Amino acid sequence: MRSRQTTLDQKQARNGLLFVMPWIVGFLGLFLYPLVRTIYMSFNVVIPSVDGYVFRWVGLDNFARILTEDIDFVIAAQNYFVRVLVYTPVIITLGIIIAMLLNQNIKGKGIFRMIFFLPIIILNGQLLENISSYGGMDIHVNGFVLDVIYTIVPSGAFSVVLDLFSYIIEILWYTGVPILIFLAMLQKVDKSLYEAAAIDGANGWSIFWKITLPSLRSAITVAIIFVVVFLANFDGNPINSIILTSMNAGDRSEGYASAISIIYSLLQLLVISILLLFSIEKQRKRV
Amino acid sequence: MKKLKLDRAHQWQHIKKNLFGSGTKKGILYKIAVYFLSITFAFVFLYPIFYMFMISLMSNTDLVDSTILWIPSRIYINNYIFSARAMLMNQTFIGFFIDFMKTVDIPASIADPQMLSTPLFTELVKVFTILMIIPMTAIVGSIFTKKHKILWIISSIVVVIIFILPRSYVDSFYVAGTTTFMMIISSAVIGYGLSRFQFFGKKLIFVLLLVIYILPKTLLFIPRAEIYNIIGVKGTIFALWIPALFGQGMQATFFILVFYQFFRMMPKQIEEAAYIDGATSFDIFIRIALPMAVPAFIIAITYGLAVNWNEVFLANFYLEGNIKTIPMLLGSLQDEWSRYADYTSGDLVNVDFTESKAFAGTLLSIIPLVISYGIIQKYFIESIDNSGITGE
Repeated sequence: MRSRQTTLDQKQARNGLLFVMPWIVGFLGLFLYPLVRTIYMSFNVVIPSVDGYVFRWVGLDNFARILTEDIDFVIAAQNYFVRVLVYTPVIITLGIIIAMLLNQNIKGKGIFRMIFFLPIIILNGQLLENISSYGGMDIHVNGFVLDVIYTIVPSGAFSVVLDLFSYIIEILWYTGVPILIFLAMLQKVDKSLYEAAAIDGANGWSIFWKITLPSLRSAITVAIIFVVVFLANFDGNPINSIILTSMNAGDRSEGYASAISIIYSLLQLLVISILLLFSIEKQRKRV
Repeated sequence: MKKLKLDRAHQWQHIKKNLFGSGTKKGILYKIAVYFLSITFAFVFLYPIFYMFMISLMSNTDLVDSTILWIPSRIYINNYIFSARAMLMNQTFIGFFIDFMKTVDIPASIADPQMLSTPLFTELVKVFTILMIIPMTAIVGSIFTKKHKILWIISSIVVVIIFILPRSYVDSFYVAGTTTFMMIISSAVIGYGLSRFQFFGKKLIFVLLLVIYILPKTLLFIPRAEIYNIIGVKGTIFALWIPALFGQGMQATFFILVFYQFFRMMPKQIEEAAYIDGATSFDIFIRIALPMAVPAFIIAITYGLAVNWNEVFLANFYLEGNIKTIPMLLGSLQDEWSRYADYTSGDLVNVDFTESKAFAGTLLSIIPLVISYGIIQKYFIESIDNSGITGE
């Protein structure tokens, strides 16, 4: 009996591996080998020739050049770092708010959803650049409204808000998939929980903090990872074009570009760990 | 007097109940707030599109006229005509193909190593792939439905429509659609393997999936291009298909996890019953698992199309400009403008490239996506409703 059980398990394991085999082949051929190759290239000066590349070992020279001599990547990386750390929490917050709005029983829900998911479909780097470089992304705030606000609020404090406001459309357009993730999660929350809380006399505010937000916890983690990866791979990201131009530039070439992409990958891991640690820490305090 | 007071108090109670709600019933104020916020957000979302549309109708003289803010003095349609020309939309695909076949020179030998990336071969693969839609629909469709006749008719109509669509639209659908198709096949297979079987190293695979997802796409593109060069597919569509087929394409992890989540919801009993009846794992996958995962397919098709359509960096690099998708053409619109705009009309001031031209091109570039989304969105949103796409 026992031996039959093991053979069945073995058969299961074999079938499972068979299904996953395309991924394993892809991982070895299109991830592991290229990764080793990239790391090797980053320690070399790479000279393209007729039959492949010629390598000249230079050790850490490429990295030293990127971080200490040339300034383009360092500046772009700093901008990216700050931008992602500021954008992501705003995107997540707005995403939760919009997902909660869409989760209400309102008329025209279908139309609202269609509008909020539209950027998922149409957004690309070139589109965003075309719109924003000609002012399509700034909502013109009425002059009178501005005057009133400036007289009430000291302008220094307000200009920060206004700065963020001029990016508001861009940020909102990034919220598509996070909204989707949150909405799917909100719909799974048991409705009787809300009813029970309401009967016990909880108001909307405490229901939000005690029921809605905790149930979104795993969705927030997923959304953070998604947003950071999206912003990194977005075609409007200047780091990508720096890497591409470096690759084609004679004095930099593939070795230098590989070194940039390795530093960039490490930065990416750092950003994600900061954001995740921060969100986990906050959630732990709250519970 | 006393009675009136009581009445008033009662009335106030009633109004209060309506305004603020009671218990689980929401009040009017709450509803107003929800509508107000929703409409505000919707307005902000759509604002750029309104803005682009209004500007794209203006001539250059309207743009510099400070009295004209939103409504153009007259509709200047040349913005659209010239942008469509510059983005290769003024010719149907079949028209282009016939012209192309008349002028192309046949390569001297088939054994030429560069043959795969020649224009002739690129176009032939494209037409062959489009024609393959009909049999592929029949094969794939037979998994989900028994109405074979309708599948044949619908797929034939789709192919005819594709042939008369503008050329660059077809190219974009070709690049995005085929890559998505490959990616969905591999993601479904891999997702099934991960969700229904226990084997050594599964945890490791999940960790690696996450790591691959987080690392930026620029990390590996140079060595991958080297590999494609060696096997002779650089500059062809195969350079996009290969990573998609092996679960290493754009955001592949995301799609694998979507399918993983769906297949995990499949009840164990069905699987066991099928095993007892003598079905193999592959049978169960095709006959039982796939038909149950229709929502996963809809999510993957919608999002996959969007991702692959909007990806420019890698597509441009691997295709080497042999196939130009719409986002690439949009990127070079300004540079190409003088070649396609008609400067002979006399109205020279209005022909030069300005934001109204850029916006006209941008709007033209999103039309196919918006139309496809309009068709698919109902099913897309339904699929999300009955899915648990948030994995751990």
